[in-house]
Amino acid sequence: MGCSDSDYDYLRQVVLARSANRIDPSRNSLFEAKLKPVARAAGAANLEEFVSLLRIDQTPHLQRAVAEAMTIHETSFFRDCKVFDALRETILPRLIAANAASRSLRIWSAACSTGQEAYSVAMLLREHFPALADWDVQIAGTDISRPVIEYAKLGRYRRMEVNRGLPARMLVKYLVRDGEEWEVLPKLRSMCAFQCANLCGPLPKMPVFDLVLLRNVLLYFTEEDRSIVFRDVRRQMTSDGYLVLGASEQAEDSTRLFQPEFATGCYFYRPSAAP
Amino acid sequence: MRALIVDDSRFIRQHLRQLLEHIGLSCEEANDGREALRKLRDSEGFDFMLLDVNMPQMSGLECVKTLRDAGLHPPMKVMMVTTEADHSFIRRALEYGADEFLMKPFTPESLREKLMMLGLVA
Repeated sequence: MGCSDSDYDYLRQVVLARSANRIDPSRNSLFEAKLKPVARAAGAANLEEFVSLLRIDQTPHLQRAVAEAMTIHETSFFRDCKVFDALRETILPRLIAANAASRSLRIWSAACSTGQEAYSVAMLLREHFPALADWDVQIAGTDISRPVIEYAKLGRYRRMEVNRGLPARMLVKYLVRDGEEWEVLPKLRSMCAFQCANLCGPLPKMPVFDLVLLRNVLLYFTEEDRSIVFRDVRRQMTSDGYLVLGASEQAEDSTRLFQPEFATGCYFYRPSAAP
Repeated sequence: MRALIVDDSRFIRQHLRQLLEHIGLSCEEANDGREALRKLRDSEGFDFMLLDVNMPQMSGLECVKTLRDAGLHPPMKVMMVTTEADHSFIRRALEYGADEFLMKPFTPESLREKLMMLGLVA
């Protein structure tokens, strides 16, 4: 497979338009690796032929398939343990105190990939906040990619996945082994609901969230698209909610929508009083 | 940080040593549980032990139980490394005093993540 620079530019435009994911020309080889199955499924013999097909066939499903295939799905259980320390020691205790009257908690794992982040939060809640047992707790996981959402819904993980970030005590307590796969127990799965959503498009109908985890996503977006996502995420949050970004990300000053706070070794963001 | 690698395969020990040294740990090696216990009795300052399960002389399970019962190097973190993935086995290892468990095969990244989890690397 392989194609011309103009074909790569075209693929880049499709991905940017559909998912706001900005792919640098230095990473052209990713197109080769990730679009092979999509090209084959579309009946193309190689990437060049597939781009020709894509240029003629403007149906959304084919362009969406390209954007989904190019999305990075890197994730693991309890990824970046400092964030989970901050959730346990600072953010969740504050939210639980603030929501004591409503006894409800809404958490959004945005760009959740195969679901490990949502299930990690569910484990954290079960393990450290038993008082929430009779609360109305919902963890929503969304991702642009349908295949990863289907994977997340199943809650079944392979050896290499449970080996990453998941403490052995949690593994034996919250997952059950089935041959060479491990399945998340129903008591955790019932706390989590997964659906497809494009952060750069109209969001599906969702509740207003107390906590949003939006980690390691926006670093692939242009500044303009980041601002749009921050605006939409802000609208989807309670006025005293919490936004957690990846360790190398920050909410731009230009948005004026969030104020940074630092606690328990971790930065997080609160909605500004007057956006 | 000082680590003791316990495995009856010289090839595996060398591989683990390379991975741990790359992360910044200094390493010593033992061929089985008995040699590991001897090294722990003769030397001080081990922070971490990477322990195979199936070994001649003394198994990893017996080794971890013996060293915890004897109070050798109490703060030392012990991680079992094995193809064994049965939950009853993992529970028993944790009850005997293992701190963490890594299933073979594993990637250098998953080893590093486990060390971070144990507070051994930042």
